[in-house]
Parts: sequence; structure tokens; C-alpha cells
Amino acid sequence: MLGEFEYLLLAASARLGDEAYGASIRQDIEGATGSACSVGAIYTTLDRLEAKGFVQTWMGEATAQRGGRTKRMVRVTARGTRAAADFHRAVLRASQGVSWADAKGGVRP
Amino acid sequence: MSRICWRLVDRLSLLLARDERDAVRGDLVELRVSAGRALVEVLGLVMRRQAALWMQARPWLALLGLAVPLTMALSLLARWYAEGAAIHAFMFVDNWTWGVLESPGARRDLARVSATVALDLLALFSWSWTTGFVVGALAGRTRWVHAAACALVLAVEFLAVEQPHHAGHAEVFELTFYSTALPLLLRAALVLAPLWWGARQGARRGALGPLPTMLVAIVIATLTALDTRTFMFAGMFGWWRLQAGWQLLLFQGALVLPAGYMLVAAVRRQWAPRPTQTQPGW
Repeated sequence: MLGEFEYLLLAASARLGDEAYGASIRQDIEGATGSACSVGAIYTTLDRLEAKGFVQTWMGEATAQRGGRTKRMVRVTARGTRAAADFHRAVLRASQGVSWADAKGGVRP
Repeated sequence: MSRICWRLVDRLSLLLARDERDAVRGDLVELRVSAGRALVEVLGLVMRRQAALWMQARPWLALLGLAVPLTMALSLLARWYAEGAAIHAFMFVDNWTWGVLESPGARRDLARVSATVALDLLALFSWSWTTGFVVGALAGRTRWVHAAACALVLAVEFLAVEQPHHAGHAEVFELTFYSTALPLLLRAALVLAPLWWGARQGARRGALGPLPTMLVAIVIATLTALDTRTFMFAGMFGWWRLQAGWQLLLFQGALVLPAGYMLVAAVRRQWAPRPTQTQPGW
């Protein structure tokens, strides 16, 4: 089972496709969640996902925009896609019959 | 302030693997993160990485099995050698007279003393370098902790332990240079500096080639054997006295241990199976 942040990272990488790397993933997650995430969270989670076989990473080319430094490119594997889909289904199942619309007043079944 | 922060970010990033360092610094530049935030983020990543490294046995083995006990031994040796060097320097430098060169006996004494001191200092440097090399090879990116621990051990051994000088040479050790500066200088130049240098080399290379390793092992074994007499003599004046023959052997064994490890690592690397190349069509 994936962790919450692992799922966010997989979703961002899948959405970005060939443009998935450290900085772009971070921007995507921050845009989606509205909260800041650190470089440490991104890179340690990427290592964990890579160790589980859910993503592949490799060093990309250096660009002037990055001061001549290389990118760590990310690609979601078939196994990662299955794990993300399972997580998504589990969240949908767990959310059935629960409405979060009225967040101020607590949970309304 | 911002420039100082970016410099700190650069220095801290050195504790990350090369590829990761490049990617992280590039991300921070691309996202135009402020210097203060970059510093906090890189510090956070470094701490996570260091914590993960310390979950393995090798950094602990390098710290508790090698760095701390051998630095203690090397510091003790530096104390002994500084004592001998001070007495001889006082005799031949502070009380120099050209008459020494005119007398064949005094000339022989000067040559023997110079050779002994040079041998002692070379041995101290070599033991420190090999110890540093093995610590670096085992510790990898945690070696800065080991370096700090070595510096701490040297400082404690120097500051906290009283120096029992040879009673017959009180005049020599009344001089601050011989009682304080020389022992400090020897620890810095012949223990700490080669330890750090060796650790850097060890972390980068892991093992030397078979030929350089053989050379290092021969040098270490020869210097250790030649210095046996010095150990026995120096043990009489150190704060820790070598009581019996087995203690001397243990002490010498500990000093040659890193060179032995280097030899084993070089042989293992030489005999390790190399990746085979598949031929198309086979």
C-alpha cells in the first residue's frame, strides 16, 4: 500500500510524463495540494518508490535555466501505475457514503 | 547574508551524492527558492540522508572499531614522539655548537638522533594515513562525523590528560614550545591532517590497486618493526604504560590493522568477478 505523499508523487509524475523531474514534480504537488513540500521530501520519497520498483529515475541533461545542472528525471513503471490505481480505488471505496462538503460542521453521514 | 547562505548551501551539498547534489542545486535555482529556505531544505535532506547512512553497521564499525581507539593510540604516540623530539631538539638546536660537527662521536649521535626522529614522524604520518583511508572507505559520506570524533579524541587526550615528562629533562619542558606547541603541532600535522587526507582518499577509492597497496603494507610493516624499540622506551614515560609483551604486540597489531584491511580489500577487488559482456548472436 502506498503512502499519501507517495501517491501524490506518482500522480504528479504520471501527469507530467516526459517532463517529470524534481522541480516540476514539486511545483505540481504544491499546485495540487496548496501546501509547500521540501526537496528532502521529494528526493527521499523518490528513492523509496524506486526501491519498490514503482518509478525509474535517471540523470537528464543540464540546462542553462538550472545554472548548468542536471535534472533527475522520473518515469512511473507499470508496477507503480498499478499501485497508484489500487490506492486510488481504496480511497474512493473508503470515501463512499461520506460527504466532506460541509467541512465546518464536521462529518455528515 | 544571502551570499553566505548560498555558500553554506554549497558546502552542505557536498555531503550529498554527486548526482543528487547536482539535481537538488538545479531544482533550487530553477524554482528561485530564497537562500534561507534553500539552506533549511538542503539541511533537511542532508539530515535525512545521514540518518539513513547511520542505520547501517559500517559507519559505526568505522567510528567505534577504528576511528576512536586508533586515534587514541596515535595521540598517545604523538605524545611520546613529541617528548623525544623535544629532548633531542633542545640538545641539538637550542644548545647548538659547531663543535658537534668536529667531533666524530657527536656527529654520529646527531645522525642517529635525526634518523630516529624522522623515522618516528614518518611512521606516525603513515599509521594516521592508513587509519584514515580505512575509516573513509568504511564510512563514506559520514566521514565528517568520524573526522570530528578524531579531532575530539585528540583534543581530550591532549587537554585532559596530564603530561608526565621525563624527570631528567625538566629544563626542556619549562619552554612552552616544547611542552605545548610541539605536541599540538605533531597531533595536527601528523595525526589529524593525514587522517583527514586518508579518509578522503578512502571514501573516493574504496581500495588502492594491488601494487600501491603492497607498497603501503610493506612500508607500514617495516616502520612498525623498526619502531618497536621506541614503543618500549616511550612506554616508560607515557601516561599509559605498556606492561607486558602481549600489550606491545597488541599495540603494534592495532597500528598495522588498517594496512592489513587495505591489503584484503585490494585482493578482493582484484579477484572480484567482472561484469561479462554478452556477444550478439550467442
